[in-house]
Amino acid sequence: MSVVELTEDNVEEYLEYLGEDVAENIGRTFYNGLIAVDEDGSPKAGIIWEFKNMRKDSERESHIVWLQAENEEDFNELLDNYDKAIKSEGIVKSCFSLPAKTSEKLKSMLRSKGFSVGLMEGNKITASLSEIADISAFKKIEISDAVRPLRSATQRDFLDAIGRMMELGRYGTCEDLAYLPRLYFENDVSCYAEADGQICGLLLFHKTPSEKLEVVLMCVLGKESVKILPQLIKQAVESGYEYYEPDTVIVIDRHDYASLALGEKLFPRGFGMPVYEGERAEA
Amino acid sequence: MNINKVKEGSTLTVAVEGPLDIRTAPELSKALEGEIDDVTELFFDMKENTYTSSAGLRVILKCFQTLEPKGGRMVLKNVNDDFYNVLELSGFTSFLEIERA
Repeated sequence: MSVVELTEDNVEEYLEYLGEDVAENIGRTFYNGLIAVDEDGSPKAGIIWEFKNMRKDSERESHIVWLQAENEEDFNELLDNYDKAIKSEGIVKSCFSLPAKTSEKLKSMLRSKGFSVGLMEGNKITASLSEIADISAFKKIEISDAVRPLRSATQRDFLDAIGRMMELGRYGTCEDLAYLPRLYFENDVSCYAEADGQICGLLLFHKTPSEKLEVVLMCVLGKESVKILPQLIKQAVESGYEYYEPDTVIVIDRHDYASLALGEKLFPRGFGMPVYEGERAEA
Repeated sequence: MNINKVKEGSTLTVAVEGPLDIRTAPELSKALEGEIDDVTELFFDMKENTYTSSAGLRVILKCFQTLEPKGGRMVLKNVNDDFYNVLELSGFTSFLEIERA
């Protein structure tokens, strides 16, 4: 068996094994992956991770976002190669969050490699476009002229806004926000708010290969943020109805306190799926 | 929200009264600090619990994370239909011991 680094050049060969939504991240800055293949080139195990907090040397982490292995031998070979791959990056901690339903076999394997493993509620929740449209809080919201679809923003204003948000540490779910091309974001449903001649709020979506719309950045700067955020959401929903079906799946990653609180407000009866999560300190 | 804890030997019963959400979940977390280290059975009595959000569920699951590796047991007791339905829909009923009200 051999372990192959996943690259933009070879990821297509493993599309079926990885799944298209996972595979599309290969090639993004901070995303890396390895595949263990047998003599015939058939994948037997795989791992994809994203580096986080790379701007802060003492807090660099590796988040394993996808992991699959049928047996301990393949798993061990894969993890040994993972260990080598992260060694030079100054990683202080590896962590993972994997669907519990399909990761039962991996629990003991991960523990044997020094990871803690525990059941948790996953960060991602999903709702259909129509479910979000039905939220009563949005029915009364009026969208001001200052809130517009992203496609009408100039490139200069967009990049300026991204830069200002990054300076404040607001990256959303994208560690590589600085490197993502504008077209990574779905420009019709994504929207922005303008104040005093510059963009003060962004609600950015990414459309996955499986045609889900993932919220990747939701950030409003300034005193009016409480008023503007609901308008951005309503604008996105209205644009969504123009371009997509009502049953289009919207994915919300409640990756921080603010998004968890918003998720609770918008979807009080929604839980993320069961996941196994854990971590390991790295030398 | 009110929290009532009763410890009998290595069994701890925690009654959660009122809503367990992003505002009140830290209270539960703080109330359980250091309380489950020597516990082998943890029961959450949800009889008077009116609502549990993700934030609340996460505190409960953190307790399970402490207990499970040492062979401990956690049961959610007197879970109302609303809460049970959400747990079932999300898939947690396959992973947790739950007794319905």
